[in-house]
Amino acid sequence: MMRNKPAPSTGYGRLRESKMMTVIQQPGNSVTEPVEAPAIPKKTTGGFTLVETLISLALLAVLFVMLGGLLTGMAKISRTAADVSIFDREIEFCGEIIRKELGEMLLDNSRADYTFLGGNEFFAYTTTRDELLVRDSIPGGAKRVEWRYDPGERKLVRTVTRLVAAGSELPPVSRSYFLEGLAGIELFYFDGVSWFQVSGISSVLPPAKCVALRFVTRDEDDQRKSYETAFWLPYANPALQKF
Amino acid sequence: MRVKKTTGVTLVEVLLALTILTLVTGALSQGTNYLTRRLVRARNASLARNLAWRRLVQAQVEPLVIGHRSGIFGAEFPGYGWNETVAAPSEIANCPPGLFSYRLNVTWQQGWENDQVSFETLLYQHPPKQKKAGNDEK
Repeated sequence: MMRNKPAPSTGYGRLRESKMMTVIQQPGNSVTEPVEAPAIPKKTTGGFTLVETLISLALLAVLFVMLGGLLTGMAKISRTAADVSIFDREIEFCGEIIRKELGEMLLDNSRADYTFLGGNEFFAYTTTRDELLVRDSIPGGAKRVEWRYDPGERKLVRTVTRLVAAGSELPPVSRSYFLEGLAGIELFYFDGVSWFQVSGISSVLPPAKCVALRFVTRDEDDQRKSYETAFWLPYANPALQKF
Repeated sequence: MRVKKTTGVTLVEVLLALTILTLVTGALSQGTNYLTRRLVRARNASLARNLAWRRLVQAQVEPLVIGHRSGIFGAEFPGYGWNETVAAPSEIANCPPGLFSYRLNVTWQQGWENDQVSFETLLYQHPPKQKKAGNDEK
């Protein structure tokens, strides 16, 4: 029995199924007939070329870089959104408290406890407004409210003292802290023509029709950012004056 | 003789997977961009709402004049401006004197576009007292 050599495979590493033709020479038979040999499964050599692998790796690297940037960006957005949301809500909360309290402000410059004091990073007023922040307050009583920026703690401190008649025991002072990370506050007043900034340690506010409060912050790059809101002083309207 | 069959991933499958991954990444990128824009917008709108108070309280203490005015909030708030419209309230029949319809828009520039928040309210100012004829004679 004699077999022909199988045909050399074509291609490098690629499978090509082919049926080989084998010539079998039998004794007594001079005629050589081609007989189909049983198919032998060939070894399949699977894999990528170096170029394909490099292309895939390059694409993957690009995608991973994009995904990494995306994840970092999303984490930053989430963190910033949370910080901004808390800070903005606290600013609006403080603004609402001040707006309500100034709406019921008591002003009498002849009495030391009934003045509107303003200064650098500080202002104070007296009001009858009973806020929930003052847990030990008596509804209807007069309270001295002081807002002061604490540069050490980088917070806004609200101090409320109940004004009592002489001889009574002084109640405890109520303190609340707001706006962690604040860089400062600035107070402005409007005299009917222009806005002026209040400066100095502490002084009685000149006759003003409304005041504005600016909250100053510093971002990661130490850039100054400001939020400003304003409050109407009801005693500026003669029809609503109480004193 | 049994030949070991090697299973694997074809190039087409790999490219298809990469294409899908690219599409997903693109969609995520779009989503992140959208979130960023919404966050910046929310922050600017919050600042604009607070700034609106400044203009509103000033309008309350100044004499209200029917018409349209505009201005800016100064160098501390670059890009932020306001425009207001004072009119007689059209929806109120027999409108009492001193009552005005007040509309305030605070605008700012966000990217290539202008954005704004709007407020509308009624403002009342005591009308100036008219001198009586009898007092004039006296």
